[in-house]
Amino acid sequence: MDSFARFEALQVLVGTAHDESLRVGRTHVQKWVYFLKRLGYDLGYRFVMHHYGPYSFELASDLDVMASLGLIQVRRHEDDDGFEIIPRDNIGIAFLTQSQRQQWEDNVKALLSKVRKRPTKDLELMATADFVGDVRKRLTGQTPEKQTVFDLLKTIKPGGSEADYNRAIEELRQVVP
Amino acid sequence: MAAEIIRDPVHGFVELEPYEVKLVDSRPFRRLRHIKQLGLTCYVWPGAEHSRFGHSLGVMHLATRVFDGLVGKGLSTRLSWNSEEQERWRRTLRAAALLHDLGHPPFSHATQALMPDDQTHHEEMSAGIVRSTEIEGILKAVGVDVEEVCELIVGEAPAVPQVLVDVLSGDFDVDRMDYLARDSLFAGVPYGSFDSDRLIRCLTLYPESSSKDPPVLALEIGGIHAAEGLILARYFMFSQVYFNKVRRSYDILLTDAMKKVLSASGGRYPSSVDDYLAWDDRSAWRAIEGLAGACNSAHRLLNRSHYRRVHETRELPEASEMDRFLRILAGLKDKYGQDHVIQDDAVQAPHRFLTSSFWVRELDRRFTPLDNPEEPPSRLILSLKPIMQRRVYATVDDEFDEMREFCNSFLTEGA
Repeated sequence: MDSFARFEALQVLVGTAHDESLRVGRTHVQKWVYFLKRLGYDLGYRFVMHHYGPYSFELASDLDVMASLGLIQVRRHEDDDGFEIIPRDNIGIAFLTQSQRQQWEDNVKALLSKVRKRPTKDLELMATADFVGDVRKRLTGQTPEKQTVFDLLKTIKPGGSEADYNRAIEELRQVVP
Repeated sequence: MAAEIIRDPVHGFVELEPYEVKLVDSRPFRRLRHIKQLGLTCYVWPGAEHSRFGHSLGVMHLATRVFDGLVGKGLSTRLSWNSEEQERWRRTLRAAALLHDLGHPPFSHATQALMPDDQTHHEEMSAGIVRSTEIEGILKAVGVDVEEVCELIVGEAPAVPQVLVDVLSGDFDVDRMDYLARDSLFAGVPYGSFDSDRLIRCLTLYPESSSKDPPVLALEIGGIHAAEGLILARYFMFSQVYFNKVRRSYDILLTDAMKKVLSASGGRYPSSVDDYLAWDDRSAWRAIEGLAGACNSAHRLLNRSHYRRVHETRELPEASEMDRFLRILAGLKDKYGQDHVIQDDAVQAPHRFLTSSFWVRELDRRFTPLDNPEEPPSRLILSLKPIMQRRVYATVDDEFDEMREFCNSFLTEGA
């Protein structure tokens, strides 16, 4: 996908979330784009395991470029130390066709309706559970047992509680069936 | 005791263990001698003939230095490794570093758009090669877990410590440290130089030992200028070398010619590892030579006759300049035809600190995020902006002058 078409898709994502009064942080965007990819709506980003779960360096780089071009604003959130991403002016020129844009917007809305109330920490755990489960499935050819995903999650994110891990695995099923 | 010592032009002596000599002598690794690190950059800087072979050795060498440095700062204690486990992870990291680029297609990044499918990047292909060639047996024979090596290469890491992933593919990773120094040396340009000794010495672990969170790679404040040096080196290498207008033109031509060469497989490299390994710069070049009479891109490649740039934006254009670029592009296509112009976008952020986290340990042992707006450890790093340069090339040489005139008149008339 052309760089600017991706920028436009990310603008739609940030704008839609903002319109729905959701907090849009850097981790949110990473995890939302990851889940959308897993649901088959792929912007072409490659995700690796990073400090807060699946992470795309290319996506991070694109967000930097978009901020520099004035397509989004990245600023400190007034209530805490975290960052928030604010939508800015539209690119002005459509890189996606109208139907592509509409379809993408529908997919974004469908995802956000499922994850909208999840705090960042839950999103990280859910995405990490999905990532390790997917890796294991590709290696073995079989969907891993819940206990396997639980154990992997505990190894990677030892700071959580057992209840956190179980909830992440259960809630993940509602997002990526 | 090293089985072999290799003299590397960038790092000096690089030591190999006996099983690593076997890895280097394996067919997939030998192929890297025939994958140029920078594609046809040698058409612009004649010295840039170096290959993925030397780069891979250099990455292994640097990964070992970083690993040993972190062990000296308590890595094994933090991860509860005994001496055997420490040695096992050292070998795993060295193997992953050595083998991380096995899956590069001919001419490296220049033809990466033709990988077998959109989900297979060169890292996934590297892992596939490790799993399904003689390399698997060499690693198993010395007790190195093949899947852990593959996880490190691909960056998936469910079973390997995150800090080792950071060493191989993070913001200050050894891949980047090697390619900047190596590309700079071979191209004969000074832009890629930075103080790698200082940087490696100042890499550390975050959080401190009291935390139960697994450690990630961080930096001591004493290395901040070396880190700035690396980021500036990367910035200049992208703006001056990797995004050079002529070099980018040859990437476009290579992709087009190879797409035709691979037309029988849908314009992509084969997905089977054996068939994929048959492609290197030599076989690709022979195929391109075979097409010369029937393919304009092949003809141009063989005769060093690149497309010429008729217009470009600045490295980070304002919205108005971008808008003007698009109107010029539309005007050129309208006047000369869609096929007579090619658009190219060169996009790269010098760092990702606005959108990711990297920790710096201050003199008082407090950790500060590198992107802390109130007290940034480096204002220089945060002030660097990404490169987002858009270009348009003429595909018909006879129209070049007229197209340039068209662009100039467009600009002077303020249209």
